Amino acid sequence: MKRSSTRRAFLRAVGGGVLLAPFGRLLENSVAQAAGETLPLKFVTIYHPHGISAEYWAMKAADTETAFDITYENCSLQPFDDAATYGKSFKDKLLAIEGIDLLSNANGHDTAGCILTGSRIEGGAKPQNISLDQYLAVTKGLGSATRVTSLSLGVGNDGTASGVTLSYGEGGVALPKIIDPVKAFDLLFDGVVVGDDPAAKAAAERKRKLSQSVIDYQTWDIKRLRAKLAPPEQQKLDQHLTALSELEKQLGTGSSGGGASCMVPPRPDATKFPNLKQYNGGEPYFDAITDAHIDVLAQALACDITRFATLFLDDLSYADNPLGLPSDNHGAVAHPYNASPVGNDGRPGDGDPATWVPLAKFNRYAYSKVARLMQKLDALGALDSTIIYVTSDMGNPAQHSTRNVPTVLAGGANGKFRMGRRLKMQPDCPAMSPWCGPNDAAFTPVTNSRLLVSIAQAFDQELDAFGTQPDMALTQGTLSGLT
Amino acid sequence: MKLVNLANIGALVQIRVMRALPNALAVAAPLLGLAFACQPAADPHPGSGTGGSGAGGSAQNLAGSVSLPDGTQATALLPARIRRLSDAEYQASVSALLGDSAAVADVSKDFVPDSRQSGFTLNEAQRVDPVLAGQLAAAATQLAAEVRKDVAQRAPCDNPATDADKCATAFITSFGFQAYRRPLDADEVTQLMTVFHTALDGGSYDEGIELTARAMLQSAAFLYLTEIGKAPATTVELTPFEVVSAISYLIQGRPPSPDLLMQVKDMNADDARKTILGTDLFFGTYTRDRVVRIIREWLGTDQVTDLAKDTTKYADFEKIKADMAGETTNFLAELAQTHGSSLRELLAADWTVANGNLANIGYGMPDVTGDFQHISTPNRLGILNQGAFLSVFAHAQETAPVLRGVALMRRVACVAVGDPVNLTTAVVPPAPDPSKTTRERFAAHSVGSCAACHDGIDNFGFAFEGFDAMGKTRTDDNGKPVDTSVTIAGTDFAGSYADSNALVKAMSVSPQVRECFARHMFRALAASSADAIRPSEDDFVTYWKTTLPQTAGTVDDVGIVDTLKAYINSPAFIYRRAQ
Repeated sequence: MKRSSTRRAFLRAVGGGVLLAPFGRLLENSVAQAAGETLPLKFVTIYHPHGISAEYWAMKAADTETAFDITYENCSLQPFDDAATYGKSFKDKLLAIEGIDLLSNANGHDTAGCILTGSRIEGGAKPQNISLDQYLAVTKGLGSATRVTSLSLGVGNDGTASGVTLSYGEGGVALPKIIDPVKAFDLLFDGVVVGDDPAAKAAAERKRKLSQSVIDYQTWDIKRLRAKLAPPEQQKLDQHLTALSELEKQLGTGSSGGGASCMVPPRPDATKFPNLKQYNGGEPYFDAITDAHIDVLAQALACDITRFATLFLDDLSYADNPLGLPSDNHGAVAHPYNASPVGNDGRPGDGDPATWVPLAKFNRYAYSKVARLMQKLDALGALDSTIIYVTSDMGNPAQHSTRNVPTVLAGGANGKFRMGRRLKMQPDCPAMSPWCGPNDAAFTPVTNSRLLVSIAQAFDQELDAFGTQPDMALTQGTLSGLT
Repeated sequence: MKLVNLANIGALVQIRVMRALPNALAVAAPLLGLAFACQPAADPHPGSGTGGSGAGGSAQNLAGSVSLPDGTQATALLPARIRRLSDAEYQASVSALLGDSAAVADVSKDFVPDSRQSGFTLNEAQRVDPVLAGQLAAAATQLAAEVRKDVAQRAPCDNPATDADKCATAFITSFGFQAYRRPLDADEVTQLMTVFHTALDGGSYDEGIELTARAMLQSAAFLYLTEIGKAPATTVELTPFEVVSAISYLIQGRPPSPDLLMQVKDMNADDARKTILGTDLFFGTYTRDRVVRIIREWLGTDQVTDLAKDTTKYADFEKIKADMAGETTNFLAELAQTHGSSLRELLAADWTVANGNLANIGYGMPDVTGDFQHISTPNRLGILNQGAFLSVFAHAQETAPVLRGVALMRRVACVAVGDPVNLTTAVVPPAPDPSKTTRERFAAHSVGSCAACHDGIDNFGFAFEGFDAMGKTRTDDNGKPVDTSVTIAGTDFAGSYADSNALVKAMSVSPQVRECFARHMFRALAASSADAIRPSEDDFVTYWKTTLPQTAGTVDDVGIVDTLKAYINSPAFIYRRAQ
């Protein structure tokens, strides 16, 4: 990023190179922010399970692109316009997009891997290319300036199958998620000192020095072994070396002071979530885990500790859950959903309105977590410089349909996208043949690849396609109407 | 540069062994002084530490390629390579080093799950990514704190003010020997002493030991098993340390003991192999646990604990899920101990080991009570008709003949099955229809282009329609009788079968299935399923066939453990080729 005059002035004032990354930067950012400058763009992707109750999500007849109501009863988008709960309305930071398709060629449950890759899921197992967050953060180096290049968080499930993973490295290699907020905190903030306490600074410096010594030895050891190996084997160690570089970046202890927007948050209270894993007693704690993840993430973004994050949410499938939903969200909320045409990819039928409400309630819960993140980021001055991409692996969950998936962009996006709107993409199929599919000439999907290209361009990347499809034209172009 | 005299390692290992004894320190201290007089000794091959070259090591492999035994082709060798310890191997390794205190026993429980290849956790795809690197660093910090707590025993030093270096060198050499499964060379000791001094500077001797342990416990030397011999060449022989490490991890899932490492340090690879095979390697709980793990991973039944079913249809699943996993484990353990780990029995046993909960709720056997026990199951033969397999290869709401069929074809019979992605067709599962059985709905597969693959796949799967998506016996599906009769084609057990019991009985004596089993065991043990090593797999299968017991000129069964032995004993096992 080109440095502005305010930034240069700031760096001169504090002695330039003395303030090394990343904590010099966060102070630098807070100064820049105070001067009314644009902060570096950040990108967060949030997955929520179980698709969407479209009847309580899609635009109503009276809605227009810029004038729309999301406060009516049962509307799942309510949290974005709920000043009573979140301090202010975030409706002007919302862009809800209808009609995006995930062409995963896989069961809806295996499709999350398509969200940030735009790729078919190979053999139901993995996408075939890198995910956008990793492309920007790693391939294009946009995450290299921060302490943590990118962050992958999850609730309840630390698996790496394509159905539970958003972030992928080169070639579609799944990246694991951190499901323990304490571990996430330690990764992001361990060793960070904001303030002027000399004893704290000295202790942090010694800790850094010892850790650096260990990393130096590991690096020496790996390089020595690497020299004895053939190239294919060397690649195994290259990734290890990259991982060590990442650890090394995290050793920075920072400078004195810190901007108003940056402070080290308290370490999450692990007693609030004694179990972490799905199907292993973790479900009752998913809400607390989600909140803790979001609070840590918001602070990390505000401190410019990372600029790229994914968060894989889970449901609240346990008896007496706070939503008052059946103890099996999947079997008793998502599966019974019986949609009208708006939620059924245009197919006819009245559906069953009684089945729309429970799913809408769960959807609203997921969006309430996004609103929580927006509220925190806003308070920390980082919302305007963030793009939050919220979606699911399915549209209609009863059909396991990967078409018409609910797509929400949130945040200020540094003005790259015009927010405060609702968009509706063209239908996939003509009204006369709503059952059309990928093998039909009439099938005209709007793929998520276009959205990924648009987001990449928001990061000033010259890119015109993203993803892997048999018809590569489906991966090309931007999403119209965003800018 | 001063070099540690490796000949003195023996004394150090004695110290480690005596550590557990009362007053061990009093004995150890003078030995340490003796062992680390640090006499200069020439290392004829600097930088050969990874492969490990003990004093007096065999000289024949130090330059160029080795001569392979007659009949062994270089193209059939596995490549010279490294592989990262799996999570389970890591845990076993730190436990072997540091004991079983709670802080040690739980240290890896939240590690990123292993990557899988063909279901197996031992594989060449394991990497250290940033998340795992962070977890390894945190674990090493936790473990090093344990070392420090016990520093008086693990790194004794009467007078750190004057002897810190000598004591630290002793610790690095002895702890490193066990952690790295070979002697450390001089460069490694020097580097680790730098780590020690970083902490000693402004800190204490104990802190220095702690930091040094922390470095060793996340080093490549600890985390990776090497199979590279002593020096790069077209064909190499593994070092004796590599041989016993490989065998120990493959058969017991844990590192070799320091005593064994000492015993083989001057041997060639073949003698090292014979030495470890001469121990009680194949007996006891470690080997049994390895057999259990390999078979569970092969057949995918280890996935059952991370599975959920639609509770509106399968409300009982959560009640017996853990017991299904327990059944597989206990069944395999009994199979290994009392049935010669017979493949035939694995696939067609008319018994299992279940507890009352599973037998009552899952298998409709109300008379069984109490803990896991041997019970007769004449209508549920072998592991493929057990709850775990039937639940894993099923959907959350209904059975999945395709998943069951493909699992049998690929994993048990080695019948090639195409991948729909390669056909660039949209996969649309048949829509739920409450008026039809699952089999009737899947009749859509028998027409058009689908039939080419699905006639084969579905017939394997339909045989199991007598069991629902959590393995309960059923006679009807959506109110209509289930049809489990199938016709299997294209295998050496082609024919018509009434149900899955009849099918698995035929499969249990099929040479094709036996060979398929051997191929999967090879992939589990060679830690690779890559196409590039198919010649190695073929070579192993050829050798394995020569080891099979015959009755009147025919083979009628194979042992699982015998197959593991055959892999270790195969001529190619101790050699590697350049990549």
